[in-house]
Amino acid sequence: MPELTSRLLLAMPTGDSGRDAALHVKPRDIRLVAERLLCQDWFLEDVCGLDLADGLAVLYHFAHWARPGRVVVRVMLDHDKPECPSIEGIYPGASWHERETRDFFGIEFTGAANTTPLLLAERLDPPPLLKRPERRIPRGRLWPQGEWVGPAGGHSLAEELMSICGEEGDQ
Amino acid sequence: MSWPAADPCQGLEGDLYARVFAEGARDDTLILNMGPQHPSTHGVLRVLLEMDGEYVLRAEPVLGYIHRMHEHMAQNRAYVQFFPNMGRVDYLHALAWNWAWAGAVERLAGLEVPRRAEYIRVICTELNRINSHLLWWGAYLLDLGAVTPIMYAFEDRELVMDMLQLITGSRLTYSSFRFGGVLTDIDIEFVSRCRSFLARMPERLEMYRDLVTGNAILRGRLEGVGVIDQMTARRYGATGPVLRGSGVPYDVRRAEPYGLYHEFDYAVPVRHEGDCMARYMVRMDELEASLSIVAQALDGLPEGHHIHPDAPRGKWRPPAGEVYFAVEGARGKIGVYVASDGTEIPYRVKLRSPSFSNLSLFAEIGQGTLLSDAVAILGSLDLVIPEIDR
Repeated sequence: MPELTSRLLLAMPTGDSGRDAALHVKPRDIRLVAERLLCQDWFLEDVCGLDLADGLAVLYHFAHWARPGRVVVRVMLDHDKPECPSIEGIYPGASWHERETRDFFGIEFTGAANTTPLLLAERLDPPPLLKRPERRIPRGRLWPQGEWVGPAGGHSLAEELMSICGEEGDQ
Repeated sequence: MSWPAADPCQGLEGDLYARVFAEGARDDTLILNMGPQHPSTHGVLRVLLEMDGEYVLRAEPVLGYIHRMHEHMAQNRAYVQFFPNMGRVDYLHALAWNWAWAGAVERLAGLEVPRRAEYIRVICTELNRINSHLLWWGAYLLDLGAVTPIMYAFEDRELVMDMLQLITGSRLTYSSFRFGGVLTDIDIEFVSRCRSFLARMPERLEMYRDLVTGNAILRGRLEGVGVIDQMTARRYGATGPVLRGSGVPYDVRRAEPYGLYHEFDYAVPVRHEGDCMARYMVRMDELEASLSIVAQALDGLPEGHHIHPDAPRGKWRPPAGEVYFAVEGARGKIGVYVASDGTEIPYRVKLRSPSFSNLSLFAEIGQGTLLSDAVAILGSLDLVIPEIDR
């Protein structure tokens, strides 16, 4: 699986970064990944929007119930049309996190039952946490290339998650 | 709407939330607003209820009345300038939020914290947790109609606030942690006050048990009410006493150790019933666990610096990168995500508050309960609204 090394961050110990695996998936795969994580006793900590020069990132932080560890699932969306499938059907607790992310970043979570603003009284344009284009940093700055290459083999969860995702595209 | 309104009924059709909520309502039911100003919501929380007589058919919390956009404020100031905000996100367990922010930035920059500072952090955070649980205890019983207990709770709270004032300078919205340590060292007076508090509390907790916990009326109000099963708690991401009341022994201090918590010996309180009483009992047990941790920390308090001599002061630049750091607050898992671009101000800060996830359960478990039970359930979640709205 050559694509594993290009998409995974697995090398850093949890103590250095607070996470022990970061996985980059396409929006269409997020529900599959979430479903698999639920089956394996991971719970959703939060959904975090992040405005980067390459696009809008959505970070799903998952922690495990029985053992230490955090898995970050990242999705990159276009600034022009930020749309991502909702995972509230799998983790109902995601609903509020997604509504909050929609308030602050203008990201549409398709399939969500409730889309009324959660924390803001009304939709703001532009959404309050979006950066001015000149202030956005490229994702390579936050996630340097070196971090993305790790010993993907041997991390069984990551391999399993990769295998349920679709074919590797342009990531 | 102009004031005074020409038409006295003008505006009564409700706002956006009420209209959206009413769309799914039956014809013969009543839509009721509980809050945003209601004694049992402990702050500015509004809950829309669809009532069939005394029974709640549907419930939906409406948030945002005290939303202050802390995450945006974080992106407009230097790292150290964000500490005062932390005291205001959750005013009842401010030091846990202090720790979450300090810990995240220390992890980002790889800063060391002296052992003495770690012990001081444990002592004051646990004292703060005791204070938070005491306030919850008093206020919860007030919700349920017992007016006296909160007076006792405040008597004990005053002692803790006096102690914390000695080392933090404030009584409620503490911001006394710094990167690499804490603001002030603890002295003989603090230690002696702390010891006399530890000696006093077992008797007080015994009195609380006699006065309240065994009370048949209280048990009738709480037992079997608002049962949250494990799977529901899991899927909503509930943490803290809410989760531990449903039989899951998940405590960040054990599950994802930080500071020096691994050096202390205490059991994580767990109850399996999942009802309001279970959550009540978990918090009562946690009071004892926290007292035990404070006692151990005072006994083992090492000599040394209360802040690392090379700790950054004022504005400084941590390296670029991203980290996540979690601590156990009085209400559950507090998480801070920081992304840094290497400048003096954070690029992105995300605050994960436990009450937010805990309250999102309410729409599901509030269904089909009596209105008075809904009050008992809301209270048992131990909500701090500023933390939910951030």
